[in-house]
Amino acid sequence: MRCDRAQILMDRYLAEELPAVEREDLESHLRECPGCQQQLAQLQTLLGTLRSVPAPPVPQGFVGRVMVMAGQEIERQGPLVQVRPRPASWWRHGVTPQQIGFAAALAAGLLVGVMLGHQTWQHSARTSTIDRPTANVQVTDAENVYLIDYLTGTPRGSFPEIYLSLTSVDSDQEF
Amino acid sequence: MRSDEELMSAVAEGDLSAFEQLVRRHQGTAWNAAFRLVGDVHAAEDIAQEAFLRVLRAASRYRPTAAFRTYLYRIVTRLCCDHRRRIVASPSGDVDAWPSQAPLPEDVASSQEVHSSVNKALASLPARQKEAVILRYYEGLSYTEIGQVIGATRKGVERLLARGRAALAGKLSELLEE
Ligand SMILES: [Zn+2]
Repeated sequence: MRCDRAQILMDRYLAEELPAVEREDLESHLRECPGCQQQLAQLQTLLGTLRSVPAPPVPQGFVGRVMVMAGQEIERQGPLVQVRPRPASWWRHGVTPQQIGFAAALAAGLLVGVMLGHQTWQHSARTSTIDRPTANVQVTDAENVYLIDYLTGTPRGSFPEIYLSLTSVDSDQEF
Repeated sequence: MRSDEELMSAVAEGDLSAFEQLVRRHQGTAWNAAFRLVGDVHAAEDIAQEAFLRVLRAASRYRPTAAFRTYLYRIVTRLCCDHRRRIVASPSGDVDAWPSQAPLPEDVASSQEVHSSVNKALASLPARQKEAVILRYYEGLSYTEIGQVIGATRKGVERLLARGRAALAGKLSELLEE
């Protein structure tokens, strides 16, 4: 074992995290290398010095203060329970109102297309995508992507319901 | 005793007492990490509180892909990073300040000089080295866990720690030779 490798392993050696093979290799190197023995002693001193510095205890009443803030948060935001999953992870990556507007315009256009009677769509609907160069998002669940909650209570066979069925596919994405 | 993951799913169902149990169980984790990272009791309390509120807000989206503690460290580390940026941006900020309000036990008062040197040396490290060093030597995380918290490979963590230790040894050389 070379000295630079030995010195890399020392940290995990002291924490007793090294697998047996590496530990034995390191120990046999240490027996023959005064330089690394000294390095190991210096590392122990350094870590001992670092750890001698205490952190103050958790401030009194910390839990109570967090719970008060949690209560206020719930009052402001409503209950924690979410009836439906929130939009997929790309949503958090900074979608601009312009992009949402653009998407909404495309969605409206699509809806009009359906209403005009493009029956031939139905067989390929489950993999339909919308070309959105600005966000490059596949439409996996129209309800989630566009937050069109108001379409969900629509009667069977209505245009909105057809639209939703066309643009939705099952998704196991993590929300 | 319910596991962290069980408590988190209860929180997602709106169970505030489960949230309180989580806060009680992990307050030390959030507080210590925040305090070590920002070196200020007031900022550390704000950050630890905010970290738990974020846990609450995100409960319904939480998936136990890593230990809850790792998840909490990740939130705390990010909040500390934001805090650091704000401090750097504001001219009155002083990252090196060891808080005078910190209630230290009497028997360590004589080591105040050592503490102050160590804290200054830690504060002077580049952010990621400092995060790695604190998570390793004060919080006792493995390289893999540190990687999950700060978003680095195991090799990356190894390098950050090696550089961090070398920098600390240099800055504390007088102290270490005594
Ligand atoms: Zn050697």
